Amino acid sequence: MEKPNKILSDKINLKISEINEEGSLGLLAYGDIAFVAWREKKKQSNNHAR
Amino acid sequence: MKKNKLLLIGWDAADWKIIGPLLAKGQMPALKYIIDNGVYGNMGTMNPPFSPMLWTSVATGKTPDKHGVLGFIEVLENGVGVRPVTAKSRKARALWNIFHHEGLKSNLIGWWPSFPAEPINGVVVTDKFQKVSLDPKKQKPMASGTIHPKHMEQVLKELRMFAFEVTGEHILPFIPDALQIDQEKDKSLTVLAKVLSENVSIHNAATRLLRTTDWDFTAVYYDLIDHLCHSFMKFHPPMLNRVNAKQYEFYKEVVNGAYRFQDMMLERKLELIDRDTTVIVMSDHGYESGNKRLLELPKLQAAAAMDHRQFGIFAAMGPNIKKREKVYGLGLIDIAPTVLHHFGLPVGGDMDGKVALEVFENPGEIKYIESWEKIEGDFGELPRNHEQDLLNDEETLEQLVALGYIEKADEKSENAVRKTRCDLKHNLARVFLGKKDYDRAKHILLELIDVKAPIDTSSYYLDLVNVCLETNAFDEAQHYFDILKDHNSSVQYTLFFQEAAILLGKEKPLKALKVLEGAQAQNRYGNPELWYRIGALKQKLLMYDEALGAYEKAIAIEPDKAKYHAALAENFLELKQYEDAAESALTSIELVRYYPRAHYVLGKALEKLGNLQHAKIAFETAARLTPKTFHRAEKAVENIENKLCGAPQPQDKNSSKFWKDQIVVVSGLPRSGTSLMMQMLHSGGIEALTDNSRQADRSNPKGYLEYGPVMSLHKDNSWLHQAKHKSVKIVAPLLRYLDVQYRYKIIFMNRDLTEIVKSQQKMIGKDPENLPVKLFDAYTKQLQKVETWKENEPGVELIYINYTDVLNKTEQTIDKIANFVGQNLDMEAMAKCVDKTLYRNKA
Repeated sequence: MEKPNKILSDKINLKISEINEEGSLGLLAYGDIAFVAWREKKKQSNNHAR
Repeated sequence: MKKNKLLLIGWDAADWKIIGPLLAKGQMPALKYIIDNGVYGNMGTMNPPFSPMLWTSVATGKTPDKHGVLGFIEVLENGVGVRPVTAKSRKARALWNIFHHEGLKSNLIGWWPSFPAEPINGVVVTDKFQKVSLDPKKQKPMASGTIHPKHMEQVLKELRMFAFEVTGEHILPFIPDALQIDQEKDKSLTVLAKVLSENVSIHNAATRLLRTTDWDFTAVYYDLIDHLCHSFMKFHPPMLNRVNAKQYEFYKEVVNGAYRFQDMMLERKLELIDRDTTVIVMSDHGYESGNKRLLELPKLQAAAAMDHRQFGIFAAMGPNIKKREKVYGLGLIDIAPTVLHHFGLPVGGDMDGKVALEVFENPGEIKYIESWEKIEGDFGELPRNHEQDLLNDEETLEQLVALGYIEKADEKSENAVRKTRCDLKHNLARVFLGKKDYDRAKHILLELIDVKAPIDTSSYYLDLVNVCLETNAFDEAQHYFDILKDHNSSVQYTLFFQEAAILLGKEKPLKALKVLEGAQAQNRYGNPELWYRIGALKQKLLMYDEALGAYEKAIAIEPDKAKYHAALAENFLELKQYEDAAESALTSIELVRYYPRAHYVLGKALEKLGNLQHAKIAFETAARLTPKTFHRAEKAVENIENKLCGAPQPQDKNSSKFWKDQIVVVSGLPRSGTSLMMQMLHSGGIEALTDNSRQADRSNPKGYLEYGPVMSLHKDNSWLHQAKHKSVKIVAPLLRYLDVQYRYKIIFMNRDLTEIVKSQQKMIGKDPENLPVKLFDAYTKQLQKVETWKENEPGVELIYINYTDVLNKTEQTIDKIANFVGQNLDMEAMAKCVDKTLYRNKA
């Protein structure tokens, strides 16, 4: 299927390595994969802070 | 890879009015992609527009009286408390149950209501899944029944987002100045975080299941738009006068943001499906975004739904879906039959919806079965509750308490149960009202008005008044209206529409007009519905120029209401401005394609403009669009066919065609020679419908040939079938109550008005030389009304016969009459009836 134009293409073209703790709406719109990666990032960041 | 899959996406409360500008700005590209590659249109809702009822109708194709979900809450099985509505209230099979039986796999995510999960072939993530506490320390374990199958619980529950996880990055696109909000005083950010996180939870589950499961049908429901509209629509541009300017600046982008985020989530789902999957995006109702937005809600059950609009959205694309077409006349009740048809499955004959064939490239043949409910087998259902109707189970409850099986509920929860039962019954009554099943609606409402305090019965009385108005029981409507007016209610109802309708029903149009104009004078912002009703009344009073002004005011405030344009078109017809009439009718049709009234008035305008071929199409469309027979439109089509055949069209609205089952009516003002005409027709071979209830007397020595039931024609016209092939005398003011299903040839007796009034004065023993001016004026108006009425009734042909011509040019007149009725008459016998000696009251 031809894909529609993206309104937040930079955010929706997800790169797991670039996810930061704050996240973004684009990340949330991407769904489960991004969400899980975001949580993991936060967890790692929290562990690191300790 | 499965073929022919279907993804159904529900956006509660989505409305084209908000979407339109966003599409134009390129801010909803995913939805635009569907529209550009598929079909789109309005989605008609149902009454009452309460979401759990509506989404269950989407899933079952049935109205709430059949599917059983009647509101937002339900009474517990043990009758001692209430809870948010669950799938247990549903008593009809949903799409996913049917698919289970047919070996298809479904995913269901967030559907309202879907808890507790039904054991279907596929995965169910219920509407309880995303509901978590705002407080991170108060999280409860996920309730049993939240997810089916159980082994999916662990993996899916990790996908729930919590409100406390929402960050500034998530909030700022909705509220750029969020940091300046005093969160101690204003809890709006908490609302946003809650709604956002819940919808992300649903979306996470949906994307996971779309990616990782094998499925035929997936349905996902989001309440993001609806819930954010309830909190933030009052701040949506344009700014309402009564809104705090600072708050407006904070929150003016939230509603747009909700739509844009919803579109972003749609985009992701489109990435996860293949080219062979059909997608439907729909809403259950729209949401008021104009001047009628409510800033404060009255204390009524489900008051939030008062902001819901009649039309939601529908957009679809897929291999067998038409491309770039607007579709018309869809209702949410049509979704289930249409989805069944997509899968090649039969539609239940007991479903209220229809297959929307017009959305399909190759529509195929619809298959039917009597009812899916009657099919035996495994439908993946919860055990059905076969106990008696909980809504009427107070006795059992009391008995159970007395026997000690359950504890007596405390006062508060007992009241909650009573209130819920009443609300659900009231909703059921409103469903029947919506289905025009007035008997059943009234039966329930009459039960409800007997409910004891603390339940406020005002809203039941209000609907009772509405039922009485719909059934023309105006005295009864007045009775309940009077009770309602004196009722001690916490809710301030606006009753001027009902008051005016009662007055109008009682033939007091001027008083009705005064009520409406009084209400309009008190309305600072202008109420379009009030202007519309004022226009309708003025039109009825033949004040066409003033009616025009009123309709134009209604349209200026609310330009997209089809009925306002249709009414304007009708008024233009009366003003003989036929081109304007056609244009307004077309505007109305553009707004609501399936609007019989607008097609009918378009037909009339085109007929007047001489465009008979297109007029015929318009009338035929009008006739086709109504579920019941549209007698006027059918007769208008016959008339045009008659004209196109070249039948002569004399100046009066009549032809010489003999219509099958026609009724010959003799009419006129009292003492205009109607009895003489009845005698002539009777002698000439058209039997008079008479019960000889009024004997001959000095005023009418040859008899009146009247029929008793005519006197109450305005209350009951069901006897008219007895008049087929006969003649019947009906006085002029009652003509408008004739049943439009029949064809009428009306012989209207004209006599000098002064002669008529003199004759009447003499008949009632008054001085014939003393002419009452008021009566004279009233008769003049009456004759004017008959002229307007006959022009608007395609089933009516009318010829004026002068009383003096009957006496002085008898043969010529009889010839004219015979030609008009289109049948052979014994003219000699007719002529013998004329006795010039009875002509006593000359002007």
